[in-house]
Amino acid sequence: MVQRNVGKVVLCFPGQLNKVPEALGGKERGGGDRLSHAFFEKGWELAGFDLASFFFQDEGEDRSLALKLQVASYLLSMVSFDRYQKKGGTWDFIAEHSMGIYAALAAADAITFEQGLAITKGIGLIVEKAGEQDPGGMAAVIGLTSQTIRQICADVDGPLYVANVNGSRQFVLSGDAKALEQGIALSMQQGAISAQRLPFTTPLHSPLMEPIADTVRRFLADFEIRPPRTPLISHWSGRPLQDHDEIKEFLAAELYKPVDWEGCVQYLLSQEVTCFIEMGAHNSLTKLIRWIDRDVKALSYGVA
Amino acid sequence: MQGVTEELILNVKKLIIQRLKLEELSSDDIDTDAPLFGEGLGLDSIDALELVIGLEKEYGVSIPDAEVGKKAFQSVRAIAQYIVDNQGQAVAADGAA
Repeated sequence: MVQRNVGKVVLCFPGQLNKVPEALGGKERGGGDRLSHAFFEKGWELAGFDLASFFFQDEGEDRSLALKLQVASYLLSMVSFDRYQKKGGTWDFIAEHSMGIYAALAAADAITFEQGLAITKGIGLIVEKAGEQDPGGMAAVIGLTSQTIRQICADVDGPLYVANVNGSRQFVLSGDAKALEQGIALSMQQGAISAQRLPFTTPLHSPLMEPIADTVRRFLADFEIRPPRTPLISHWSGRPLQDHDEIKEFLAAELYKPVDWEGCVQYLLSQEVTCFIEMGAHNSLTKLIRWIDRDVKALSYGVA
Repeated sequence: MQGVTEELILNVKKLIIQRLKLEELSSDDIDTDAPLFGEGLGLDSIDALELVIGLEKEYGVSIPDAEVGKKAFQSVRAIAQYIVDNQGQAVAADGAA
């Protein structure tokens, strides 16, 4: 019997970007300098955003920044995936991190491009509204151990949770605004390499988001979701998401459950994956994979 | 900048390329005095953690907090200087323990 001496390939769909990517043209570049791709023409129109205001608004004052970044992340991942596919690229698994699930579902053909955009925007709006009612936030902390980070969450006055385990020393905290500020200060005191606020006004992936889950379930009720064509690995169980109901429940529950990216990558490594390709404009997941296993190939396909 | 040799500068560049898996770069592509973060090579805090671990493993020097890291990681030359200034201390600390 001839055995293929090549490992398996996984396409990784990242979560929300932290800023408007260069590839879309920041305001210093004139704002309208976007990538030319059919998804963008269609995407902005369907999402109902005015391109000029998206780029020209002062990011600090834009209350809808997180929502717009979410839509931009979805579109960039889809463009990257479309280009990879058209070049004849192949894959064995699809993995997703946080809100990367929307593009991952579209790539796995469980939903259409248009459905993915509608879900991204619809859930984004529900999350944004929750943030207006109960402001919170998130912060990335690099350099501390799991034990220290969990102690910090226990020590602050107020609700603060570990929202992402991105690696053994890479975490995201999520909680109410005051507890988060304390958590950032304590992290720096404890010797973190960095502890920075992320552009979220909501404490995603924490139990504080549980109250919106039913609103999300109702919003998703009318969407037809098909079984993924490629094994689509969940970011918390490290197991494939399979049927309609399971995927819908995942979309609601992931908003209040933490992301275990390290566990997800470890599962994929156990499935003979040797190549991780990030779909999007950045290389954030690529760098996290480099930390988890230095011997596997991890690269960002990009959007150029 | 006493004590920083060209050899050490070259080794620091090799460490950056190896730790960050920047296989497409050679040591000639990295400017000795250019900023490493934000502009220049455009490194981020996840890269910084890799460099912290790399410096501990290769040279036995540790970066205790972000403030020290910010100064030490200003450029390749600053990293080399930090190694020269701190290498002996790490050995002494080990000895005392």
